[in-house]
Amino acid sequence: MIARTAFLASFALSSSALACPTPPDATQLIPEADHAPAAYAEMNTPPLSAPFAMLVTFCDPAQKIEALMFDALMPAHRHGMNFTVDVSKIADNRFEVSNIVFHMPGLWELQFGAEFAGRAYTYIAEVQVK
Amino acid sequence: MNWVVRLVGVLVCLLCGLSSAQADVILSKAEIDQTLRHGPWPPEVVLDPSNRVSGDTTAISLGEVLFSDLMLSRDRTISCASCHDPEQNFTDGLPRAEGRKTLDRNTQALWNLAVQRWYGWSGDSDSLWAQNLTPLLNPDELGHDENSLRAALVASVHRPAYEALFGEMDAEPAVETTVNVSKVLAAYIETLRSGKTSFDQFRDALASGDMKKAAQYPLSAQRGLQIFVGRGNCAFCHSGPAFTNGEFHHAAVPFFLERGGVDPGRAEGIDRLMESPFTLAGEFSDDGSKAGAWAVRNVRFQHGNFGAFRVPTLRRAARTAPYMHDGSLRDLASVIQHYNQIDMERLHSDGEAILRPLGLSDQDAEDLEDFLRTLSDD
Ligand code: HEC
Ligand code: HEC
Repeated sequence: MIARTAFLASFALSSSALACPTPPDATQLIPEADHAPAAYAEMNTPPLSAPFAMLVTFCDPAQKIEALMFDALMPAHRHGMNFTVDVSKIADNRFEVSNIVFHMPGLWELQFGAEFAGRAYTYIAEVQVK
Repeated sequence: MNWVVRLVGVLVCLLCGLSSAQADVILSKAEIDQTLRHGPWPPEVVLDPSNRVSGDTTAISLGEVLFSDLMLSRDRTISCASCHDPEQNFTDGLPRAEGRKTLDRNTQALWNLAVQRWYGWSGDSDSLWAQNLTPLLNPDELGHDENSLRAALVASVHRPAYEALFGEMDAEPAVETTVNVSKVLAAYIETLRSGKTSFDQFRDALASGDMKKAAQYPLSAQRGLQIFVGRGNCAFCHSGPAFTNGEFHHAAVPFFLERGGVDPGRAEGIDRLMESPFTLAGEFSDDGSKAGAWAVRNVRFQHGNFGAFRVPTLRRAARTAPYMHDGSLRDLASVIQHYNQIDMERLHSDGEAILRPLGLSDQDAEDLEDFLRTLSDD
């Protein structure tokens, strides 16, 4: 986990605008496309089978993300979430995703879709639920 | 002389060997961490914000009386207690419930139901009081309608207690009365809580680092627990202090009905939930902030819901055979063999990828059963 964080942190330094430092405990979102703005999510340790929320921040002030889509699945068990989440924009390039429920322990893959100027940037991240 | 010393030495060593074999914690650090997640128990008592008589002592005693009162059935022949018999852990010991006819499902026991996310095998309701409406109004169970229930209550000895809680009945619409009766019953059912078991003593000892005390937990149960959190994969679904994640899974139990057709399980449960005016998002909830309503608003239909049922708690389960939504498995040993030799054909393509034959030996199966029993010995 520490190694992973360190890896992600170095990744963050190389790809994101330094104007948007990632907080130390944040989860870096890994973009599919190189030119996507750097982004990270902040959350407490996800509880098992109980709703929780995360804050998602996009780092390029020149690209104001208009909408955010979120989904998550467990690759090992071939299933997703039993609920849809609620997404609200709380500031420029900052979104709250709430009512996320990971109902089983294990590795969850998070998928983000950020809409900007008719394009969609996609990102992924992983969290381990205990 | 010499041989006596040696013999005594051997004996002492045998004894010490024996006692250390009998009194040991065999769990690894990782297994101890997993074990800790199944507690602490009991959980804090929480009141249901959607039920204004939750925790009210008058409501609890009225609920207890009503629970066994034949007045709750239209023809005054059965009550809640006919199926949820307090002498039988609030169930009936039958594979499937006997109402006016044999129902499709097994009668659930009523332990530890305060403020859960879903109720019923398929989660038709999102509150305990809403769940109680089903048997009251189902023609195959208590068979009332709102008016007949109201009339029965008005004419009954319970009217003063009811009015002390909810006010004058004269102008009260029948639907209000019906919901209020459900809430009174819920106030009572919420008080049915199971206590600390030998598993909980073990877990508490581990939590406080008291290995000597923890070592009193039988070795066979410890081995069973290792299977439960390990290669048995049980804790993926039977997680947390109540040994359920409160959600729905397909556990490869056949869902064909004796009378033909299938029991769609959660797939139908979601439909019923969507049609119901009695959810936490609706006007009958007493919680102005509608705190629990996110679940019904956000619940998502998925193909995998078909044939999925709510993961049952395993607390007190050893006392409530037979098992599964259709009562098709006679005893705990049969449940274990069901998982051990799971029929992969029964799981649809998008079903659970974690269920697979376990290859348990007879000894493993006995250990697992010993462990399960330690969740019911309170
Ligand atoms: C004819 C037998 C029968 C009668 C009578 C009956 N029940 Fe039930 N009860 C069942 C069955 C069967 C289930 C499982 C229902 C399902 O999932 O379809 C159940 C489920 C429940 C549940 C949900 C438990 C859980 O774990 O989610 C509650 C609460 C409940 N009953 C309360 C009551 C109350 C209160 C009454 C009286 C008003 C009552 N029942 C009368 C058979 C009965
Ligand atoms: C994929 C999730 C899942 C896994 C893994 C799982 N269970 Fe279950 N369990 C369920 C569901 C769902 C039911 C109810 C199934 C039904 O009625 O159709 C159930 C029912 C049971 C019951 C019956 C309880 C009752 O009151 O009827 C027992 C006992 C049980 N499981 C024990 C175990 C054990 C032991 C293991 C590991 C060997 C295990 N389960 C693994 C989901 C799971």
